[in-house]
Amino acid sequence: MTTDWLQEALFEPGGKAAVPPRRLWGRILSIAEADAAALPRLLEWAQERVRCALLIGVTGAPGAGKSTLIGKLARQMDSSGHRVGVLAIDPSSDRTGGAVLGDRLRMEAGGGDDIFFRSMATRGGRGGLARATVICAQVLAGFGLDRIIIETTGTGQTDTAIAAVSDPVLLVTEPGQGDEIQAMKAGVMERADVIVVNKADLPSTDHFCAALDLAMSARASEVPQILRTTSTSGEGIAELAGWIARRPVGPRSGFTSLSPEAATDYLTELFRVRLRDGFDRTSDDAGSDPFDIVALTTRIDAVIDSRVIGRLTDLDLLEKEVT
Amino acid sequence: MQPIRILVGMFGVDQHEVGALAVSSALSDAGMEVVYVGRFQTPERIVSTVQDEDVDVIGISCHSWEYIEYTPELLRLLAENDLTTPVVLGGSVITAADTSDMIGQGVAGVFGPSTPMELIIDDITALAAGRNLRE
Ligand SMILES: Nc1nc2c(ncn2[C@@H]2O[C@H](COP(=O)(O)OP(=O)(O)OP(=O)(O)O)[C@@H](O)[C@H]2O)c(=O)[nH]1
Ligand SMILES: [Mg+2]
Repeated sequence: MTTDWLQEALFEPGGKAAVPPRRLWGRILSIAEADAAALPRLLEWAQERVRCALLIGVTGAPGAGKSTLIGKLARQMDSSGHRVGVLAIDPSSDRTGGAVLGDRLRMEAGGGDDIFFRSMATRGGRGGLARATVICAQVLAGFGLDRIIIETTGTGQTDTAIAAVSDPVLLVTEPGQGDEIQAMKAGVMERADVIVVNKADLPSTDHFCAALDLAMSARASEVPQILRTTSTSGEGIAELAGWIARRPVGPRSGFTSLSPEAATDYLTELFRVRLRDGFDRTSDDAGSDPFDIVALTTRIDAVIDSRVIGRLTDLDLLEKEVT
Repeated sequence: MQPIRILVGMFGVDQHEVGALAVSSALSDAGMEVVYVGRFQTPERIVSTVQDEDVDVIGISCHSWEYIEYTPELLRLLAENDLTTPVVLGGSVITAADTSDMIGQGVAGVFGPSTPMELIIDDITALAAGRNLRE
């Protein structure tokens, strides 16, 4: 039985929550992904085990180089002593439920090592994440990983869920997407903490960066950092990792317990409120920004049963543990 | 019921990716989640991927002779790691004699270039269902 197996894998005979051996992690994630009956056990374990981890969201259009970049970034973090996990999301077919999960392909050049990598199909999840992404990230944090990188499906503008569950959010772009800058402005670009101009080896990079600067200068709100990378060669990756390491820990950086259902409800509610706010803002209301996810998160936390959501963040703890 | 997860890849310097990609998309159309790892695989790397990705079946596309050396090594490593994940081979280079040899060594299924896709899907589904611990 799955529950007996899980009990044995996650708890010592005395009942204390333990870190299972690496070879069992994959199976445990499958259970987290699919087995509702096992969730109470898993959450009980997570309650005891989960330490704060940086959840790094990576989004951007298909082919921009997200997986290649993650491969290099993960290795950079691994070599500076972090314990790194990657969750790479690809869409499930609405029609058949099947999926081809191809992100590992780009990660692999260079070999297996200590980095945990898991491909996930969305299985009905929306906004660029799988339904179980948050719970899986939480379980990885429980295994002791302190850097968890999440690659969204890469549908660009609609990959908005990532901003609610990760911090920082990296938006990966490539030169030649000039026309898309306008389109991106209203989407995930609003919530990116850093815009990565990847494929900086391409000749049109300077031109693209100039267009990006122009688009940014028109913005009233905080302007994200812009960094150039060439993920194939690794150029710029150390700088990106350095930027992440130096960045003050934000309010979305950690989490305690969030069941998949709670996470889904949470995100649904988040978008509902955000949408309503957008509609409501008929007059110029300086106090409320419909795109300010952090402010909304705080408000929604108060609305939703605090038992289910748990403390989303504990800043004091984060300051101590995420360095 | 959760979808069947299957790893699809090729050993070593096997360059022929077209068949593996076609099979991957057919399996996805049949409702499976295909963890596509592509070329340059070694038995060690496959075993560690099988653990992280928790796949139900391992599918190796064989269009060069290397599989004859790599497959027994893969089977040995799987056993050494207490993994019962079934291995299936598919491709153009597997002769009848090699097929029975591979089956004798513990490969769960061999599909030639003329095996109908429906049969491949049925066999993989049956193999995934037979895997222990998965309810
Ligand atoms: N020239 C150049 N090519 C790159 C660079 N980074 C990635 N690529 C190439 O871009 C292609 C797509 O890379 P991926 O890493 O698969 O992109 P992705 O954003 O993960 O793609 P999806 O997961 O399909 O959305 C591959 O052929 C990479 O080799 C780079 O810095 N320069
Ligand atoms: Mg990718």
